[in-house]
Amino acid sequence: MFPHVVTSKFRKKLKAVLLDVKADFERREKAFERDERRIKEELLAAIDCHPPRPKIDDFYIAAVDGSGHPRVATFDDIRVHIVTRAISLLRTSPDGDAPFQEVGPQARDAGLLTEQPESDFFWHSGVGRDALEKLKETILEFYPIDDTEKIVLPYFKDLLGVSSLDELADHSPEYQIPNSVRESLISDDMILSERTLHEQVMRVYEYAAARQLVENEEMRPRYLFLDGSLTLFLRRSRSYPSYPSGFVLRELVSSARKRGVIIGAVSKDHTIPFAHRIATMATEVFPRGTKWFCRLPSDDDPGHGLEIYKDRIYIPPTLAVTYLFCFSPDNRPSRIDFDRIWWLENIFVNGDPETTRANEITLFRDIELMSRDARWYGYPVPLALAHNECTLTRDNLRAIRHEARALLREIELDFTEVNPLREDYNL
Amino acid sequence: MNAETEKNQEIDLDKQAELFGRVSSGDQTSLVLICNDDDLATGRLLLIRSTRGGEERIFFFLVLRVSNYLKYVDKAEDVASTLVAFEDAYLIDGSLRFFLEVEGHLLGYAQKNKQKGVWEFRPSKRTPEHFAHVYIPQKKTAEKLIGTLFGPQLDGEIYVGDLEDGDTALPVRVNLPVKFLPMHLGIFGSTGAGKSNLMMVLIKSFIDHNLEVRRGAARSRQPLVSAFCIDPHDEFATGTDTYGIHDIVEAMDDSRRNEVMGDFYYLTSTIRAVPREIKRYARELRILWDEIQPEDLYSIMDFSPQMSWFIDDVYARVGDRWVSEILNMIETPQGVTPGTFRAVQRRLAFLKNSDLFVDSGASTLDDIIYALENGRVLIVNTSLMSSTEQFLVTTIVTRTISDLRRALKSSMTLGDFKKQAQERLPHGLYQRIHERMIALYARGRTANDDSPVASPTELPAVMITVEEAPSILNPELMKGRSVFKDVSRQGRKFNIGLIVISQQVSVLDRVILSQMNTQISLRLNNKTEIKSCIDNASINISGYEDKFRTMARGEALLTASYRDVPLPVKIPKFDDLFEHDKRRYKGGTSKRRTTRHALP
Repeated sequence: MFPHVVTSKFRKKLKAVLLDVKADFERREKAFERDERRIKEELLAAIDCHPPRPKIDDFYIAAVDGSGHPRVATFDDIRVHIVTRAISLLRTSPDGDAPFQEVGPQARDAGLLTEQPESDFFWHSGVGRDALEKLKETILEFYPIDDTEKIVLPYFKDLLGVSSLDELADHSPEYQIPNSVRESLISDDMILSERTLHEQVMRVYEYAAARQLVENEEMRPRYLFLDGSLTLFLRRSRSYPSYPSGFVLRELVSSARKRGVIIGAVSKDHTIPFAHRIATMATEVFPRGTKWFCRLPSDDDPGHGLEIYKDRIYIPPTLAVTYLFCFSPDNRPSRIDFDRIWWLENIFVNGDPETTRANEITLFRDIELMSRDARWYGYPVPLALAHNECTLTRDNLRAIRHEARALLREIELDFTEVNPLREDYNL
Repeated sequence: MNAETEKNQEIDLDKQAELFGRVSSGDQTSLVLICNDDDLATGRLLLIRSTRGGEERIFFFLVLRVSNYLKYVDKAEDVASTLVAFEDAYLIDGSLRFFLEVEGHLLGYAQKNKQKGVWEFRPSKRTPEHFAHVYIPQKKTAEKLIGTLFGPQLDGEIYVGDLEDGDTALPVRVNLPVKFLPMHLGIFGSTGAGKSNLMMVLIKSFIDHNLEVRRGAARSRQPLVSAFCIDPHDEFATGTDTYGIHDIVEAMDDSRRNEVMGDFYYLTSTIRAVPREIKRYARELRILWDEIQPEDLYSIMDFSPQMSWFIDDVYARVGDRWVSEILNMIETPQGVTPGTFRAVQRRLAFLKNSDLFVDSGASTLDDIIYALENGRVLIVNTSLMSSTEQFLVTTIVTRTISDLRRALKSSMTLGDFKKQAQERLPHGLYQRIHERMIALYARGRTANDDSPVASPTELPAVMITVEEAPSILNPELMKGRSVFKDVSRQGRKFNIGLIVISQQVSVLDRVILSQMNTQISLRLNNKTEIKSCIDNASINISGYEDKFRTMARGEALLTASYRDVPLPVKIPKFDDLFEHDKRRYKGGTSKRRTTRHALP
């Protein structure tokens, strides 16, 4: 046990911090009070749910999730990463007990789900720009678009309406991207931590699987769920993504939109301020057990953004629309992001808030229907299935490392230690 | 091994069975498997393929516990309660993520003998490799598959039932070898578990075996099997439902019936109560007081040392007439206390009121002994007898046959045998039987005093049933002189076996239990009895507690010291068995092909 826990000095320090937190919270509470009425009257909506066994169109729904570990093996400053991904693909099932059923053999025939989960590796050393070079190579190897300009362009196209990167010259300096980004998605001055590097590879590996689904004509899903958000981390003082995965995400979202695929990025663990208060408000406004959602508008929307996240620059993310939703009284509200361009084209009706609301309800009605599996009631089932397939457990990792050791012996590489550094001292 | 036999031994699990799951964890005795979410009953036999160490092995796994396993769900109760709480909740495509977690015992494994090209069964000293493939036998191929792999574990001449596979039976016959019958058989089960039906199946199997032996077709020329079967409810002959043993008798033609069943098979204390159709094959059971020996009574009743001393003294003085001597005494004899004298008279008093035990007249004991030495099955209706009468009859027959076999075993010639038998048997009985028996015991065609005698193992295996066994095979009675104690210990030498039938195991004497080398356990509900049954089994069946509780009527677990594995057995209904086999009792020769009959 950490011995200081019981000392009064320790307790005093901790209490001081918590009081600071409280003070900050109380300051923001005022912001919530200013938003409260608008949330209650304009943004919060009850879902008119489908009946238990509804008659619905025939369509596919899908999800992609990924996992990985940055240190499946380490040799001096060399790191070997593993990335995994899984696709779940379901189809409406008019006669089944559940309204959807998993698509197995058909998907395999169509070249999807050939191996579930899929995995791949990535390695780099600490030498000079080795990590950046290898990241560039890996992204282009994973993602099915070879031309980097075609990956970069969709972001600017959606943001500025340009049709080529050359047109960026007509825009302000914050949109001017260096050639290195045009050519490799990576700027020369980028500094990547091991964790960020791993995250980038993992994200692109996931997006590549989603792109496969979008491209597949035979079983193209109507809804495609991603784990997380559509957040784009932008470079300081610039208005384009800091990391390659941001460009890749916008390319994916753009191609999905063109093919009629609705992308929703869902996070059950999120940092939306006052989400719990919004949930409490929903229980006060609606009858018990009502399934609901709440749009979190941006400054570009009618009425502007909410006070509660005014200082959170990523809520909602650039080119995205964010909602909170809750389909089960047992769960905390989750967050879902949609592509803003798609949303403007399909949900939002300018000057007509009622039709916009009706469109939102129709959208969430479908998502709610996809979230009734008893194992994960309230959470979109395709995502849950994909998550379960791709997750690397501690045991999985141990087995992978064991295999790595055996292979090292086989190829006679004089490194026998593949465990994380210093594991031998248990520090 | 010839090519045909080798071909018969070919096993291809992928074709003959269905891939069903994988090994998850466990050791060399018990395993946990993860299997398809299918309809699997406890008691089913699964096969596990192993190539560990480069050896081809197929493990046998008996399912003892089945539970649902939901992948990715730590608490299934959360899912179930969600389904209850939210009526719009569903479960998507369960077959992909629902599994069965199956626990059970490894019975052993068959290993391919590469040199001989045959599968050899071995007790479980190994465990299959990680995630080894688990197969479920298909009904149509199970007979060959299990027969080939399990072979010696099922062999024998006395059919008991079919190998149980969950709640059905595979077409694989489970038999008992005749040579192990004299190592005694225990049949344990609660009321309604199917003991009577099992006895009828066994009696039929004895008769079938004797038929085959007399036809010269029984394998390895095993001896005949005789049985003295106590029938406390008078149901064996007429059956509990449609057919009984009598239907077998009636199905035979005269010559076969005479050969196999003799001129009677049914014994009763009161012939007038016997149905007409059976009466032709019935005898009224009578045993003379002179044919009772003190040891017979010591085996079934509690006598104090003083009482035994008094009885032994009278027996030493007057010999076979000891019962009438004591019963006719009016005065307390010298040297005996009045209390002891009166207590002995009280214990013997039931003989005075018995129709079965008589002071004078004709006895059927010699006919019974002759029948048993001739390989015949006798059914003894004890429904009209008192328990004491039933126990005494069983004891006298057991002791008499034991004395004869003992005399035979310790004799080189017929002359020796006669002398020894005369010393052991009551005088009158010896006089009546010795001429009839001589021909049976003599080895060779001549039967003079110098003729060598047969070994008891060449004579029929005599099986004596002990019904309501706790009454006479309890530890108290076993402390003293008991015929059953001797037979249980030495019966094998004399080719005499006991069939001990009881609803309770815990109250039986441990010496007797330890001698039961074959145990057929039917359903038991009582925890104590289940534990005793498991403790007493010749092989390790710990962990089978639930199996005993979930057994249906007619399901049994067969354990034997001469076998490596416990065998779950489904005992067929006697009626079905008879329906299936009744044609075989008609005349004509055996249809079974024998190697002796085959063309070179």
